[in-house]
Amino acid sequence: MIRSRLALVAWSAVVAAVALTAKGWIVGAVLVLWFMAIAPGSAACRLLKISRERDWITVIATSVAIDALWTETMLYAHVWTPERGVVALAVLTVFLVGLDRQLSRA
Amino acid sequence: MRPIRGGGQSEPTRACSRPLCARFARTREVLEQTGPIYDGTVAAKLIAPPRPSPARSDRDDPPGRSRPRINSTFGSIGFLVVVVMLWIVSLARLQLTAIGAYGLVSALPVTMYAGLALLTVSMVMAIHRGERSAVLAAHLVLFVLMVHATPALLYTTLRYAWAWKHLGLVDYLARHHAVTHAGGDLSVYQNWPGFFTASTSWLVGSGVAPSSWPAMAQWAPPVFELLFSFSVLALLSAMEADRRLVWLSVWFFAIGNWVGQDYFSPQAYAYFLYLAVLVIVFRWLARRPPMPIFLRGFVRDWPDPEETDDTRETSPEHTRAGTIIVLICVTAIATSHPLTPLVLFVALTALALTRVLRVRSLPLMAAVPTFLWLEVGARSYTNAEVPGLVTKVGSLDTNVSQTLAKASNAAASQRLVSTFGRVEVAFLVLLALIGVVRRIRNGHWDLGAIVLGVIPGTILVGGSYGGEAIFRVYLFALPFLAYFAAAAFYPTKDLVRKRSSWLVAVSSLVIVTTFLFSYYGKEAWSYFAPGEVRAAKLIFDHAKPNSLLVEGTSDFPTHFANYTDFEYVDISNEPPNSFTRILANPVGDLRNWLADPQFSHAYLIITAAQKAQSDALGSLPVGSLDRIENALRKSPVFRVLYYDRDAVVFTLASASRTQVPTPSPTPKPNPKR
Repeated sequence: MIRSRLALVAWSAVVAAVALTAKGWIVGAVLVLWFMAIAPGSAACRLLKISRERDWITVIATSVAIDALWTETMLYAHVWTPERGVVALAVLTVFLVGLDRQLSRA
Repeated sequence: MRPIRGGGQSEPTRACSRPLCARFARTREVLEQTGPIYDGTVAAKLIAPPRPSPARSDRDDPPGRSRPRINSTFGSIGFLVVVVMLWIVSLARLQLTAIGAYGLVSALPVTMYAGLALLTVSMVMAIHRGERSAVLAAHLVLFVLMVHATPALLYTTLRYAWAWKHLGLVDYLARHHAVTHAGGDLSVYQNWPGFFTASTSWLVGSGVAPSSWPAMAQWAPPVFELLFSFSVLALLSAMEADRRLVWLSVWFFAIGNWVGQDYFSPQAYAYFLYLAVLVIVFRWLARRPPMPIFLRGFVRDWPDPEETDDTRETSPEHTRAGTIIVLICVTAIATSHPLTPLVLFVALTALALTRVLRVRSLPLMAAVPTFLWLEVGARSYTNAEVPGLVTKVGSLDTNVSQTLAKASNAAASQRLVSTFGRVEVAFLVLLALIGVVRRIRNGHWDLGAIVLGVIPGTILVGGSYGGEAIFRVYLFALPFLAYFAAAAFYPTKDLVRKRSSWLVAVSSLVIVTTFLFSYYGKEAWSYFAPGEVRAAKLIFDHAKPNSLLVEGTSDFPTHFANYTDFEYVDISNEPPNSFTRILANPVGDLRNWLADPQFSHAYLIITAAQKAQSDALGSLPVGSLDRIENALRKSPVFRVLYYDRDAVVFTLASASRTQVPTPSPTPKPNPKR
């Protein structure tokens, strides 16, 4: 689980850049896969105050569930393309991190 | 109600040097003095001398044992190094041409078997010693990699035809950015697209070229198996504090999971989420119900109260967070796979009815996305298929007999492979039954695990999944079968016997042996030679809409590109009279099929994997596809588009298409696959 908000935001930005340029590098594929497997779930679990090391199965499950639901929602809204799907997941992650920050301050 | 009886068969006053007997005698003595007590935990608390609350690290160790000595840890690491070296040697020596009637089992060098045997013994000894989690995890990871990553490391092509078909869905979504509800082949996946939209986003969104997708999908089995194994570890850790029992359960799960639902597929994705939901349920949303009174009379020895204390985190924050995450996961499962959400719904309902689940409304909440998706998202599919499925509810005999019938037609080698699979299941079930009894006799009541071990059986009576149903039941029940099978050896934390480790080692070696035959026994047709992939690419990469593809069997790299452009006809699925006609006159009959004017193009493909599969499973008489291929190659009516020793693709010679005045109608394409 990634605890640092800054790391999540930075990773989201890199992944969005990879998706928008889509060069097909193997490093990019691994980076995007790793992001999709961990980042959205990390942000969601932070928001729900689940933040221990041993919850990483929960984090991965939440991440891959959000991946499917988010991209599927875009598909049925007729706004999905694969690249947009990745960028939208990065945006969602940043949004969840921001929401967590706002709630923590409040 | 009756008071607790101290034990079953043994007499408390009998001379006995075992500390358990002494404790048991004391338990009975105190119970007789205190009169009826109905809760075993209370009784144990009354009896147990006050003791300081142990630190977590102490509780993790087996009782009466300190941490394993540093020498034994180094010994385990040394074993692991030797096993890795044996594996590397095996990879270098393995010849794919040696894959034979028993699949990879025929081809694996002796060093691979030596490595797996050494790893098994080392793991069992490490578990028995109460070795550090990191060392046990290293054993588990190495086993998963040795078994599930070996094909990915050796094969240059993606194994298993269904994995290729699933890439076809990725290809469709990448091209159209939408799903189709027009029916046809693979329509079930068009109605449950969650896994595929996420996969397509990853593969296409990160710019991976379509030619590299199979290479990526090849690594799905080790990745999914690691996720499964560590999910089961988290699940059982949430249910039981005895590390030895938990790790042996996970080991039995890993070596018992021969079903092969770990390839690039929505069912593997949904199964991982199913396990993750159970992890959350047992960590935050469940309770440990007391043992029913009628069973307390069978208890021989109550466990220490600290073993049975419910230490789950049940704060409102955890309950709320757990419920939200469960609903997210359930919704993702409901939109990705048709069967898993139903099994999950039944499982949650059973847990609520048996009062294991604290949040009693969770099944209802889970039912909303499940049935809403059936009614809205997958409406076109359910409208077409549900009436047929409803008529098959209760078809227990069909679901079981189809599996048995398939095995009865198979070649002797495949019958043996099938027998190994059944022996493994029977052995685990037998151990699990012993484990349930031993757990109860030692005062443990694992109602949640019992429920989840039995509930998957509803798949057999709840609808038709063809011959696959019985494998799905086994897969969903496996974590709990493995748990109780392990409990047959380690029923309680107190009971440590030296002979257990040898019994566990022998049992593990038996299970690993049967596993290798069951999991690797079908590689003769799960593996595709490069020539087969080239032949298939020739057809699919240059597809024209409204083409006909006649195939020996559906076992070849298929559907992976432009799959909706084809109508598929599987010769092995033809009714006997039609097939007899083909064998009697392959050139004439197949020319009529391929000349059907309703198709713009027509191809016929026969591959080595198709021949191996049809011969081994008995779907066609032995040598049928060879006879058809030889006849067509000699005929001027057919033109060979591609030929090597592993595959051949035919089409009609251009003149032949016009020479057939009244072609007999092409058989109706296969129904949904």
